[in-house]
Amino acid sequence: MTRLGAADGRDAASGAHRRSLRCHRTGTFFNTSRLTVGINDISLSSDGLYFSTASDDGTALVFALDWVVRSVAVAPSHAASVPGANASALRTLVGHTAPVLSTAFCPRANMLATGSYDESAIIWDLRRGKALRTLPAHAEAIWSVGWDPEGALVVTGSADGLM
Amino acid sequence: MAIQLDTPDAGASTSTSAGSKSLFEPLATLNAHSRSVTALRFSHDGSMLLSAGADGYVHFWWVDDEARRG
Repeated sequence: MTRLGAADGRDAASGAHRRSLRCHRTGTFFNTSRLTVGINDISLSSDGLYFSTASDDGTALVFALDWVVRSVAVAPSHAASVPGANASALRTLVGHTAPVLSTAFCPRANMLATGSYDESAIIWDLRRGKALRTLPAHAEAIWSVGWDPEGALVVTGSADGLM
Repeated sequence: MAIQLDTPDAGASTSTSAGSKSLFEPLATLNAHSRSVTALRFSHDGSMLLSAGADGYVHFWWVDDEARRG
């Protein structure tokens, strides 16, 4: 639930609906087993089954979320590690020639969009794990990518100031 | 679930400093990454939070939100 502000005006005045939120770290994984490779973005698929990472090593990885949850399923407040997660990626998307900065699942189809420091965006066919199309749309790094709710349009945002 | 936004003049109480404080106080502070935190995503049911960092880690957090459970 996203709730900004007080719907009935009482929350702020009386504090009657004070919220309490606790987060227990349940698991951790790292992108590679040996090198520290920064992760720049993550995206969750609309069905909640998968997530993808955008890495400094130029790859985008796709994982099954339930695999991670099962692998790290431990008692709350007890964190577990899943080392060398690369080996467990369902898809390793190789094509960018520089760090991948942004990743976004298509909400309606088995596609993923990534944007990179190499100034290109790539649309991936996740079923085959191959690049469908490379979009040489920008003159600088692409920091954000997104889809419209129908999965028909891709938008890219770049350091060149253009979308 | 629709997002509800109060208009700035919806009520005097929301514009007082006390009101602002209770609305925007952090509910939790999570300390796990050793470098920049680069991305945060809640799962669709809100039960889990994913955080990614320049340290190469993705952390998974169970979210225990009393307001959401209620």
